[in-house]
Amino acid sequence: MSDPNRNNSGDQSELPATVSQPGNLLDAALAHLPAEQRQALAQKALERKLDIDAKAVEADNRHRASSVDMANTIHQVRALEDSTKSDYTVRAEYETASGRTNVEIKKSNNTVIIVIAIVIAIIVLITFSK
Amino acid sequence: MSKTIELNICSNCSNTLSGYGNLCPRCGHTIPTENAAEAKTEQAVIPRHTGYSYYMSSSIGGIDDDVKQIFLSLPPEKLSLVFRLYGQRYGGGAQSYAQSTYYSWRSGRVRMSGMVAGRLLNLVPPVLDPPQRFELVKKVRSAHLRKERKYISCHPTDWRHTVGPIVAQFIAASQNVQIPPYVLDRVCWLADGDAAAAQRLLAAAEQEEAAVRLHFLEAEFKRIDFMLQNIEATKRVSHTIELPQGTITVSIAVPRKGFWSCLGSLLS
Repeated sequence: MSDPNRNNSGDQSELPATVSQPGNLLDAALAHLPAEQRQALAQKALERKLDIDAKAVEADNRHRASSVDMANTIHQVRALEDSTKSDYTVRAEYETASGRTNVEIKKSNNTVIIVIAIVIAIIVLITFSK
Repeated sequence: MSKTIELNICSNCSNTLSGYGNLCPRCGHTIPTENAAEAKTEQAVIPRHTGYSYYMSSSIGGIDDDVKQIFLSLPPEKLSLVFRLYGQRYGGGAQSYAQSTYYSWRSGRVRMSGMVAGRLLNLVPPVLDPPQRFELVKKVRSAHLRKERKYISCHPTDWRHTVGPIVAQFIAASQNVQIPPYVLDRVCWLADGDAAAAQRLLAAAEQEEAAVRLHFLEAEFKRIDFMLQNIEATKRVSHTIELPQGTITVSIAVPRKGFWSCLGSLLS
């Protein structure tokens, strides 16, 4: 099983440039302010920067944790496939860096429906054959 | 319901004294009105009625309560500056009433009227330190930042074409947040340079935060694609992108098996 998280430097042309190169927007905004305002807001800018840095670390942690959780789900579903032939439903939610991913995995052989359909078909055939 | 007043520029700190007479709320410097060279004046229109409603309170993010609390705990030198500004703008009678009632407001024995609270909304913030004013601007701004919610559907391989433009639109929304003119008319200091600078900084911070959250988006969609390729029984996948500007819910189209392949897998 290859790691899907690697090689994430693909073409991001449809995404805004800020997404592919985060980390300098606040500095740039501060640098564009007049000196007096820059001095007045420097403390708040620093606080926001620290806050964003903390959020970046949290996002990184969420990304790692959700990668592990997703890989575990894949392993569990494969194990389930190998061990049972009956129906199953797996629902999972992962807290990711950008938000959350919800997945529903459902195996249904539709045995009951097929049996009912066959019975109805037989009844219809018998009815029309008379 | 408006009157025309003069706008003075403080010669000491270049602050705009919109509606504060000749006393600078920032540095306390008094501009002699007869000195025409020192005071540059221009015309501006401010509302005559300074009371405010619940609607007004919500349109300024509830900072009226914050301003009231800040006013009731101001240090003596700033408090006396606020009272001087109060007197200059609303007259000596109003000033002496405010000064004599201050401790009753503080103890809670007397409830501050909406009119006084509305007046303080314009008089207190200009005397505050920039970080305190920044927090007030932040609250007003978030009251006008409309968090959007979008639902879209796409295939994991072409998500960039569908999600990309919407993400760009969300991020750009931070730059387009504008405090409506009726709020700026009521709360004059929000139009000052400092408040505008704080807004620019807040917009940049929101965009930066969005960028941080979206940094792994590419990897996240690859992961979803990987899951779809590896688990045939996947029925539904959705990914919710939560940004400071709003939420985008992406429904990933799961490839459906045809009738014959279903029948084939059933018989095998």
